[in-house]
Amino acid sequence: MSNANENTIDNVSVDLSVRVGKVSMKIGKLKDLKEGSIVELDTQASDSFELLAGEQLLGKGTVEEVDGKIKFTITETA
Amino acid sequence: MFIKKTTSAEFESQQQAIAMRGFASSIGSKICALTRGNLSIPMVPSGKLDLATYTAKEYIENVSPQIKYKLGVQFDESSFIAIGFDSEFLSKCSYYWAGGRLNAPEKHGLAKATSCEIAFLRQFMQLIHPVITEELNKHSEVTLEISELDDNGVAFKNDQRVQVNTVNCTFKEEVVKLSIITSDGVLKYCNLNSLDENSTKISDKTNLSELNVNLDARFEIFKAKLGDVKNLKVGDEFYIPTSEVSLINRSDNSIIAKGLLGSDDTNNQLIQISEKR
Repeated sequence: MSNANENTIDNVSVDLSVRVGKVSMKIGKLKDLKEGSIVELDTQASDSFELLAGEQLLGKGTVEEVDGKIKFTITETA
Repeated sequence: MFIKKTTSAEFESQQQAIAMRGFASSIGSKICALTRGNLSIPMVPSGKLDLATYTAKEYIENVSPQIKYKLGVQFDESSFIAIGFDSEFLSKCSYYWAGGRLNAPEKHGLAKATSCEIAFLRQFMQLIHPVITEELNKHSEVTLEISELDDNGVAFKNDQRVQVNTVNCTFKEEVVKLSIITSDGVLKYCNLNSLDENSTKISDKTNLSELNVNLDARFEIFKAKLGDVKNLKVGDEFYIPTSEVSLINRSDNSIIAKGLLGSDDTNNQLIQISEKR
């Protein structure tokens, strides 16, 4: 692959997301969810957060809230 | 794995037989109630419905002559629906109706109707005619006219089948039979599936609320250049514009709800829902 092509590909945007945890919930409970409801996840506050591209795990990290935004810092790469 | 093979005619016939069950059950119950209320015969439906399917030949030669009295409607040259009963039904009911309280005397199926039976037959037919009309019209888009039906005039096709649902009815020590008869093709004119037990939705029979959905809790999606992703290393930072967390259905990535992240006394991660989609 030429350098020019590689540069073009490297500039492609990728959707990333940070997963906090997972939960399996019955439809009945899902229907009953409303403002104020509490949903318990399968993770602990001390666990790392997962950085994903689609379903592909890229790494793990920590989050902190800074001025209403979330700063995600990588602590481990996949 | 073997897949059962069937012709489309057989399949339609089976579908029709299934569709008839609710209708037959409903009409059987109503005729019994009318008979109790108006003719003082304490008739109740009993046991399960019996379903039999016959070729047109079997039906015309063996079944139809037994079910001597029929009320119904013929939709086209070969499709009809009828409610019928045999000489035994007439004999036993009329005997009780006329005051007989011992077992009704046995009577040969082809014997002529007595004057008492004819009188009962007239009353019984008048009584059930409007009910059968009403019941059939619940399932039809056009208004159906019910009359005594002579199925000798039906031009059966080669592979046509006739389904007979039999409702057993009892009073005192007697058991009599009501037959609900359809020939293939009736469902085109009369949707027997509607309003009957077969129209019950699966959600009425199965508790779908118990099904599990797998959800992800994720912060809002953000974008990065592929080049940056390829070179990710410990210490790299990304900023996500909002602290809101979405509950996402993993099967189709749809957002079910949004909320704020927190934790409880035992450090379990929690989401407090702020918006339900």
